[in-house]
Amino acid sequence: MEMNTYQYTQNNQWNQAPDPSLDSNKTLLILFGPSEQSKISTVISNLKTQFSQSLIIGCSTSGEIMGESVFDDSISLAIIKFDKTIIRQSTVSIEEGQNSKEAGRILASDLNAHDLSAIFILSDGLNVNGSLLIDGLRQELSDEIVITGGLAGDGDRFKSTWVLSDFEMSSKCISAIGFYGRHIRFSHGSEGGWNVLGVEREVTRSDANVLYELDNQPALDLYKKYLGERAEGLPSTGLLFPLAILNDDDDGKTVRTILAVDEANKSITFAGNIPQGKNVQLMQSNFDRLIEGAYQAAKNVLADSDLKSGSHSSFKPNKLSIAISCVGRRLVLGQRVEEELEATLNVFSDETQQIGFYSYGEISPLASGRCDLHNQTMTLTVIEEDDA
Amino acid sequence: MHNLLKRQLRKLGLSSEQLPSMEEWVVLLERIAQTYQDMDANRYTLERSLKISSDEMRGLYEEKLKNSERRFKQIFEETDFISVQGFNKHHKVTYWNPASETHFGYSEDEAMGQCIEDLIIPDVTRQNITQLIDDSFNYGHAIPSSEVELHKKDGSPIDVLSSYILINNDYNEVEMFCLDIDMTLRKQFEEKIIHQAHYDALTELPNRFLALDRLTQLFNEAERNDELVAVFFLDLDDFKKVNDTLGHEVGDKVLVETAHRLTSDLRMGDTIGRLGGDEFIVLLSGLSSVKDSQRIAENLLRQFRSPFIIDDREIVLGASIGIAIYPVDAKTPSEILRNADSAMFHAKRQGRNTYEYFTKDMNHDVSKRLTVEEQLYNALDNNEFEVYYQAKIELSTGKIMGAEALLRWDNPVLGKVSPDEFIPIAEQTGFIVPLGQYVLVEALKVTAYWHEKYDSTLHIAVNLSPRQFRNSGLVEFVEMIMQQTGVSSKYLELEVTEGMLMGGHQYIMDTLDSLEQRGITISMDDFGTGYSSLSYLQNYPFSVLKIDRSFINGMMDNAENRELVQAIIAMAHALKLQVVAEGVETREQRDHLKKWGCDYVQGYFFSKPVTADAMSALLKSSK
Repeated sequence: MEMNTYQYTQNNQWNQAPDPSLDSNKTLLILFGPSEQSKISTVISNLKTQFSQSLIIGCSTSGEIMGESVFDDSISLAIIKFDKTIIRQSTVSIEEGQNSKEAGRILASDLNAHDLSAIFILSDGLNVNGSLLIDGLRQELSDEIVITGGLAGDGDRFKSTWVLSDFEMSSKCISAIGFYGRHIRFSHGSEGGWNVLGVEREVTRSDANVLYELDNQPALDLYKKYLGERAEGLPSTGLLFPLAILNDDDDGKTVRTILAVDEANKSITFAGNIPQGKNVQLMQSNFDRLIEGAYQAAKNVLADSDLKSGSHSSFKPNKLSIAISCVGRRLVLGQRVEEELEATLNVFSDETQQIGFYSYGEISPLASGRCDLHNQTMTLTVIEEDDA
Repeated sequence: MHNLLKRQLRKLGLSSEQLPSMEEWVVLLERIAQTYQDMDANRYTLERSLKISSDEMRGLYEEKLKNSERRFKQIFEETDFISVQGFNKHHKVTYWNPASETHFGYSEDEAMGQCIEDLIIPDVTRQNITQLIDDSFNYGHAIPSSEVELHKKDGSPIDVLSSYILINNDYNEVEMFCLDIDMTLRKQFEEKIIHQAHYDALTELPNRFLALDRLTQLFNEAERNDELVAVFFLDLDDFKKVNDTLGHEVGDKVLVETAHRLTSDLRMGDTIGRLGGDEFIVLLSGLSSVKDSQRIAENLLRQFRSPFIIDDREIVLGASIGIAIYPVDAKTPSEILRNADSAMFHAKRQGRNTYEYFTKDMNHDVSKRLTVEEQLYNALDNNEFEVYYQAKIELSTGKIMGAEALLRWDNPVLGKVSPDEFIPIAEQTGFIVPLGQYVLVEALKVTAYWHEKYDSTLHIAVNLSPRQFRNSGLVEFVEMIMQQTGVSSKYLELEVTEGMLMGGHQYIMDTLDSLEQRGITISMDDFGTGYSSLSYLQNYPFSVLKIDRSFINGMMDNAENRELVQAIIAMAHALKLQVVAEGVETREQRDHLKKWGCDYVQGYFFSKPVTADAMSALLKSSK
């Protein structure tokens, strides 16, 4: 495959002009940009003209990742021209209250085929229940199909996100690319670096991804207690204390990120389901552990890649790493956020190019292989096509 | 250089080797300042979350502790018969469970903080208990569990079984807990059980067990006091019919009513018990005469003349009573019960609604006895008595040395009644006292006359009965009569039987001593017929020994009998006693006795008992 990455900034425009010769029906554009659509609408329409045959998928961010740096109000773009792999796209829009699970099913059945290998999916970050979306996908697809992706971000505003498909930016939209054939390889790794803190609490009242009460006390009050002065920064400071749902099975913990708070009913909306009756714990992290986590995520990619290639020398040139990291990590790491990106690229070979974004949720298979929505992780997906 | 600073420089396009421009410097400082702020914020969050979660952990721990404490606390809060008090080393109450309030009367509010000794320890034991508690706190000495009397708020005592436990509580202080079980309940239970073991549940009368126990007691008393005991077996006639036709509930009510009626008639010291079924036992103690028992039997039967009114029904019942008397009818409780039962059986056969004494003879005897008793009452006033005299002969000289006074009774109804018959009855009724006095007076009067007329050395012997000794005025009376008649004490002999002495009563001994000291001769009558003749001779002030006629009678039958009499005489002499042989009827007997040195003889061979006049004639002729 041929692949290149490009960056567009407000000041300097494109660092390299996107190469139209890459346009084909086997070409995929992956684009991450600022949630304020007006800033990049012109650029998008230009791209549309240049890449008429290609498929494009993208979303708004809480920070664009380019290589080992993070930018705002920029565009990170990757253009991949595949040799043998067929790609197709499916998009659904959901209105308020519409079934996320149903949307997932629709996408999945649309893309499903006997030679489907992997799916890359980007979803609206605020109006979709990521867990249910995945449930819907998994219901239709076999477990062997790798699904990765993420939920679009909106800086630290939590107001409105967009997903790009057919060179149109839409909110309340979910789009997915299906990759077909035996030549495509998705390696993935996901790691958090957050540790549980304090006592276990029972989810005594919740509704899907809205949490009302823990141990019969209002959830919002608990967060405010822990945040102290920083409670003023809710909902974004809520990212400092993701919630770990303690699972009964081997999967251990599922981590959930705050998306919104409601002062009126003292509830907190998370990126995924908080099942009633389950036990949860607050989580906390610090700099070192998060960096270590990112590093470990990259290591996991290699391990996964080795697994798939069956050999150790899987370092091929022209690999694209898509880094989808959680906005909560950016908040904790502050100015040092780029160190986690450095950590990942330190693991990969020099020929690996990386784009990505800070998201409201990451999609990637668990250790068990089952795909799930993660939060607060550095999730890496390395896409390569083998030459054989 | 720190990675972040490196990056910050790099992002601004600065190098560590060169100075930045003013604008760049400002931006760089802003970013560095921001870094510090970020660090502060992170540290703030970290420290805060650690503190809060640590507090939460502690809260959880304390809650768990409270829960586990709650479990045990609940036990102490809910038990109603174990009172638990906790107090600290200053003896101030720290815990007071609801049962403590029930036991001691102080509420928790009243008790908390108070000194435990002030609340429930009586003054008597206070010092001791305070010491024990202090030793326990200071040296860990365990206080043993024990029954102790404490007192309530109102001062009344309460018996408890207390145990003391010293613990380190959750706050690592030493605390003492006292657990008390109220023993009042146990005592009440004990009393209840004892009561149930002794009393019939239906009628509340003593049951068989208690009744028999009382019977044994009555036997012992009667033996000591020489009285009669009567045992009635009372059986309701046709009770079974009542039970069968009217049902057991009615039957039970009849029994209860029976118990009421029977009890209403009793004297103090008498007992009614229910043996079982429709059988009752009546124990009458301290009876002086059989007549008394008859009176009571008749009264009891009278109770059954009025019908029983049960549930508006009229039920007519009679009773059959069997009577046995101690000591006549039996020597042991079981024997008397058997005999009373047997008598009752006879009563039923006699046609019911009646009473029967144990033997036919008894029945007959009783009626005769009753008559005797009746007749005796007026006999003295009616001058039915006469004192007879039997001569006593001095063997060495053949001379009449004196006489024994013997009472004779000729009654219009009964005719001549032998002393064997009426004397015992007189003793039982107490009539013997005036009778005895009469004999003494008559005997001394006639002796005085004989002294004057015929022989001033004549002795007169008068029999005394045990009952007369009970009369504390005996000695005075004897003295008075001696004085009145002018007969000196050295001529008066008072005969006392062995049987009289068997009770070992001190007053008899004292009276005899008193009489002997006045010079009166005391002789032992019927020697050899009792149980421990020899010790009596030693311990009592006897001067004369009268060999019982039974020994004299059998003298000529064989050598042993003779040797025995001879031995008695020898022994008596060795003891410095004079010997009188009674019932001498043949010359042979007389000869032997004389040979053996017997001092005096009495018997038909010389003279049977005769009137005073006849005696006078005898004396006159031998003068």
